[in-house]
Amino acid sequence: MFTDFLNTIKELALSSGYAKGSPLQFLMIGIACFLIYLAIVKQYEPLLLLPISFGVLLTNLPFANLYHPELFITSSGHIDIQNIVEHGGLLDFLYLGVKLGIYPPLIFLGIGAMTDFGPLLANPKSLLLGAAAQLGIFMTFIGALFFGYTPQEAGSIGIIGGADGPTAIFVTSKLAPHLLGPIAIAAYSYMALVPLIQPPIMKLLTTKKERQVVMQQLRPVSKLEKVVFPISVTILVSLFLPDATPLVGMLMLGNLFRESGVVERINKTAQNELINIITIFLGVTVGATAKAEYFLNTKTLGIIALGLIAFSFGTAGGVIFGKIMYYATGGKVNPLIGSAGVSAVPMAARVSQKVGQKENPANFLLMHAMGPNVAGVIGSAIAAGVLLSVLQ
Amino acid sequence: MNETISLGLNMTFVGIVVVFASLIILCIIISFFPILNPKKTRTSAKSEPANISSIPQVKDTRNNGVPEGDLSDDSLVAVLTAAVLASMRNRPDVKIRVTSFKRIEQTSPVWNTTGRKEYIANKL
Repeated sequence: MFTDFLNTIKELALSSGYAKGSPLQFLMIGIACFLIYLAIVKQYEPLLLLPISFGVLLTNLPFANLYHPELFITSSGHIDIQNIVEHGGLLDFLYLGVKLGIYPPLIFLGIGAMTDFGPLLANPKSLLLGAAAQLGIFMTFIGALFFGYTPQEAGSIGIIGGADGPTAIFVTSKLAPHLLGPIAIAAYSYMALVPLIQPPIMKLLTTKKERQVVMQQLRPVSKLEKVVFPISVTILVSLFLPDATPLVGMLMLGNLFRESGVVERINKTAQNELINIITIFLGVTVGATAKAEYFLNTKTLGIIALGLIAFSFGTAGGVIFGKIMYYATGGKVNPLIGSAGVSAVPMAARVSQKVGQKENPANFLLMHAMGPNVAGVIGSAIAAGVLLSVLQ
Repeated sequence: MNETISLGLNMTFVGIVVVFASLIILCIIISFFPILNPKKTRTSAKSEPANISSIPQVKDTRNNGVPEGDLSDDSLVAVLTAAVLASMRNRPDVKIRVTSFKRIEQTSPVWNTTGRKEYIANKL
């Protein structure tokens, strides 16, 4: 009787995850716990890093069978929905939203509903700063090619430089889905580290005099301008670059909800409930793609290093173009607002404000930096469209 | 290797040109947006000097909103003007003209106000 009891306990213990889990899985559980720590204690983009890190934890629990990457890799290259329904787990079903490119555009809908494009409309030249800050994407693309990544992988790594999580996920899910986990983690981690990464680059590329420039007050923007803007952007960008339509179109639809003022209920849902629900699904499933066998390799280390380069080049591109505008306008533009061109709304704009105010306490750059900041969102969506149309 | 360089440079060139071209066109279109505003607003905006918005206009509502005919406390106006200019660091582009003043009741303790200001400043 007692022997039977011991045997049962022994069998139970041997078949448990503790005994059968591989060292790599336990290492990934450790990494997941570290990411959870960063999200909760250090508050690094907790809204996304927390679900992502918990997704990493869930997917690496031995025998939990929540996510099966093999279901999404078929010889024909198409997803076999029937197979997923029959053999998939919870995260497989939720992952369909990433794989089919549903979640990132819906996140963009919410972002659009939360974004005020007023500063950009008041100073349209700041769009150019948003374009210059996309330099990091393409410089990193070249770097990644040299390190032996395929063009599709290089494009997905480069888009980290756009400092826009949903865009990075959208592009990677189309071009290199096997790198989704490391790219999403790198993108969101670096976005959280913007206050540490950007200031040294900003100071290195500008003089004290340039950093002290006080910019003129922005003109007020009428409601009509704000309503016409999303419609014009959608038509213009989508006709020029159809691959950017899912992101730009949804971003602008969300913004139209906000500015039109006639669909307050939908606007509220888009910027609260909808984006929150999608964030949970997106975060957990993207985290789930970071299975030990796909995550723990030299490619991930390369992605983390190249991601940092992408962010740095993006910041440098924006600041350098800011300097060009400083000279072109006879010293009316503070080059610090250029660094905000790397999306990461509103963190990058806050960094410009903080660095600017350190040099001149009476200087308020926040609203001026919001222009390039929201322009960066449009710029990175266009850059994503270019990468998709060429590399897909 | 040559193919890699060629692909990388080609992609970079195309990407930067397309991103810049799209945003430059958008910039040009947006710069025409003020035309959409009603004419009245445009003419009034044009007629005002650029720095007029920086001049604080405080209505004097002492004596139940009845404006005082003479500005009796000239020295207080001078002090207020000096204080505003000092806080603006004597910037040449900012011109201040105090037309009236009004005492605002202190509704919360001064330490609370300072704490709130510091908190907001840290969040920026």
